[in-house]
Amino acid sequence: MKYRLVSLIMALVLGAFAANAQAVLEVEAPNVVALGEPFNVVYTTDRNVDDFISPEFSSFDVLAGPLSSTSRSVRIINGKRESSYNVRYTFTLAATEEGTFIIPPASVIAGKKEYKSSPVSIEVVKDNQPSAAVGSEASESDVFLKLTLDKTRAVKGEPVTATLELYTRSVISGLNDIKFPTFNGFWSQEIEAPQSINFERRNYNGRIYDVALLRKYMLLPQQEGDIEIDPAAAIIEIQVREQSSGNSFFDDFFDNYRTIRKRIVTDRKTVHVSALPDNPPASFAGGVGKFSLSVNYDSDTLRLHEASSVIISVSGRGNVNLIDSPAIKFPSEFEVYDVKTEDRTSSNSGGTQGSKLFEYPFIPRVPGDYVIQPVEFSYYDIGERKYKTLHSEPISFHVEGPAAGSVGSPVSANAVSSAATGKQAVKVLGEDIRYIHVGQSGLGKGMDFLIFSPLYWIIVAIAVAAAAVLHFVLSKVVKNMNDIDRKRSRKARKVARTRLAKAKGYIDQKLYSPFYEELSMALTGYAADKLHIPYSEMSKDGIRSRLADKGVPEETAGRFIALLDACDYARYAPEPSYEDMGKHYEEAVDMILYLEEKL
Amino acid sequence: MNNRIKIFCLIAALFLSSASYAATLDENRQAFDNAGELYKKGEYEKALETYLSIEKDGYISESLYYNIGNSFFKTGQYAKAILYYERALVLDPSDDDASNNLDMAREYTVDRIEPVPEFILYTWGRNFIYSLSSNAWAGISLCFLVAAAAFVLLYFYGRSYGLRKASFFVAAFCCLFMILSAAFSYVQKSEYENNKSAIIMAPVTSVKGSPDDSGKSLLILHEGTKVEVLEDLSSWKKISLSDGRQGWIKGSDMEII
Repeated sequence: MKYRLVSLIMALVLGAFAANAQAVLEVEAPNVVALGEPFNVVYTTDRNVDDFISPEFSSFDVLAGPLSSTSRSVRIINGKRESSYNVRYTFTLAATEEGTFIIPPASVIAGKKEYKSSPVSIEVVKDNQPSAAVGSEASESDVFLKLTLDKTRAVKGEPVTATLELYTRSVISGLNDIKFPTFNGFWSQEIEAPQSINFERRNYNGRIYDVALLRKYMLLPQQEGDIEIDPAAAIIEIQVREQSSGNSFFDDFFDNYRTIRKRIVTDRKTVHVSALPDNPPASFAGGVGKFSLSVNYDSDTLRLHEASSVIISVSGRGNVNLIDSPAIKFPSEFEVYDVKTEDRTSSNSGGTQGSKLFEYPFIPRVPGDYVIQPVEFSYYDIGERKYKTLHSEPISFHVEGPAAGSVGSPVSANAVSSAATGKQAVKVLGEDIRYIHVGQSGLGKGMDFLIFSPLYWIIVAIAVAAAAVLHFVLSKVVKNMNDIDRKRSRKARKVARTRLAKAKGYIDQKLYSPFYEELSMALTGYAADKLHIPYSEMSKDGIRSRLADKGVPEETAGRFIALLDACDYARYAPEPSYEDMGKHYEEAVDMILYLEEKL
Repeated sequence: MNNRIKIFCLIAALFLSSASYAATLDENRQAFDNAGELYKKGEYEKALETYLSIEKDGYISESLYYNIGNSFFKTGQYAKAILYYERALVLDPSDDDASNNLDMAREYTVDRIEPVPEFILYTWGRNFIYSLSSNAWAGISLCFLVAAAAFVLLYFYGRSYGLRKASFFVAAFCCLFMILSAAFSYVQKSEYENNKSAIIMAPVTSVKGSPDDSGKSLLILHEGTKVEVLEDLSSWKKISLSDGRQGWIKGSDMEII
């Protein structure tokens, strides 16, 4: 317990040092120093040093050093003990002349081995003290924001790196309201966005500045023309040392600082974006940079109705993340689903790097052998300034189906149901207008309407006239036919009378059979002529129905038929009965007289 | 003698002119077929030129207008395509292809106008009338006339009473149908002759409240929209949209179907 407490305290006191295991002897030195300015060069190692050999500081005055200091830390986290050990050798130097100088490597001997540090290059600038500005105002050149672009001319889609940095020669106490640039017209991504502001000394126009990186962006121009980048701006608080009024001794001793607020803005920057060359290949998917293409698939032998996929991977450097999926022409027997996209890229200066995966899932629906045409992918090569097209190998698939017999023949109920579920709606691949009319052109001058045109009226007149003529002809024919009938009926009386007269003669002569023959013929002949019955249709039933049609009472018609029956009977009777002859004659005359009146 | 020569010359001139008429008709039929070939090859611009030259010669037909419409559609001039499909439909309102393609061309127009809903029986009636062309209806009316005459004769000279009774009614119905189909035919003819529809051709035009440039703008119309022309006043036309709104448009911004 006690040990733990001690180690905890040690960790709190000394824990700021993090061991760096990469190099045995590390060196820290500023990049840029002013002439005569004292600065520190620190060598650090985590080994138990037996001896330290200083380098030759030929162009610098050594003001102090080497001062060695040792630090040790022990950390216990979750029962795990970590200890670190550091030795630092510090030199305080001052430059004596301008130029760039190299401090040769220092070395340490540890465990009978010699370890060397890397050489350090230090630039010496003739500059006044880069300390807090003295005076009421910090000048424009003392504190500013700077946006640097790695190129100002680019083609559409070519990555441009933009760096936003703060340059200062004053002591900064705060940085507020940072307005980062909005990159309209670019697709932008932050590559670096440090949480804390770390200053680094740098020579800029012969003066030493503390420079801090604020943001680093990767920009992909999305439109052509001169694209202006909105300036970034920030409010900065600078500590300015006041000129002391000099009354008191203490005033001189304690510097009097005042904080002033200042708005700093970057310059406007313009990127000239030129269009990609005309006539890109058909398979151009917007890629600018340098890429390679690979096509993968699970297996070239597939099972019917089993999902599979083709994976296209585009990898390289450029706007990888903005590439559209290349097109694959699947056979129409495959059911194809939406492309799945996976981004495996990392952005850094010079564009994104990595690969983009496109997965094309599909389900084969018909067994057979298929070849998918090579996948084409075109991009614009920035290095060679032209379009390049990549081709994959053609992919061949063999789709295994069920045995050939069981597909088409619905032998079992199972097969029937599978055939029924195989139906699907007709696939709509696209829409187009219907094709032009070919063949009969039907060309003519103007539009002719038949309705109520002279031709129409002529046809109407012809039709009406034809009907009228037909009517006239028919009426003539009918009239003729009527005349024949009338003649026949007019004649009927005469014929009947002569027949009856003849029959009367037979009564007197007592000729039995001829009398009835004549009487029968007189009656039927009269009926036929009067009722317009053709001789072919002569029968008793025919006569009865005709009589009924003419409105002769049933009873009279019955008597007529009965009389005819009697005549027929008498004609073939073996025993003649002469007394009835007179009665039948009378009856026949009555009947004819009656019909004559009635019809 | 002199008169005879004159008559001879006149006859000769008539004969020659009819011959030349036939020649250009044949030429244009040939051009029509050529244009069909060009269209088949996908050279829509050339096909369009050829079709338009036939139209320029004064020859028209439903097929010609339909094919011109298709060529305009393929070259991306949708307002013109609409105009020619409408013209094709005026010549043959029963052309299914033209109305189908017209609907597709209308997809490309900007203006979406909700037409005033028609009474359903009116729509049905219209559809029925336009299911056949005017001349077809006229022919049908003539057929009914002949049938009516035949049945009238049958009525007069039918043998039996039942036959004569039936033929009387049939003749009456034939007369009715004859009048109806003649009326349908005439409705189409009069609509064709009084057709005052137009298609907006200017990409954008404004409908004014009064027939002058200083008039208040009421609506903005885009190309391809069909309007009905109600009145003419110098170069201005009073139009009505299918939703019933009215206004004045410059005649040059549209083309009459």
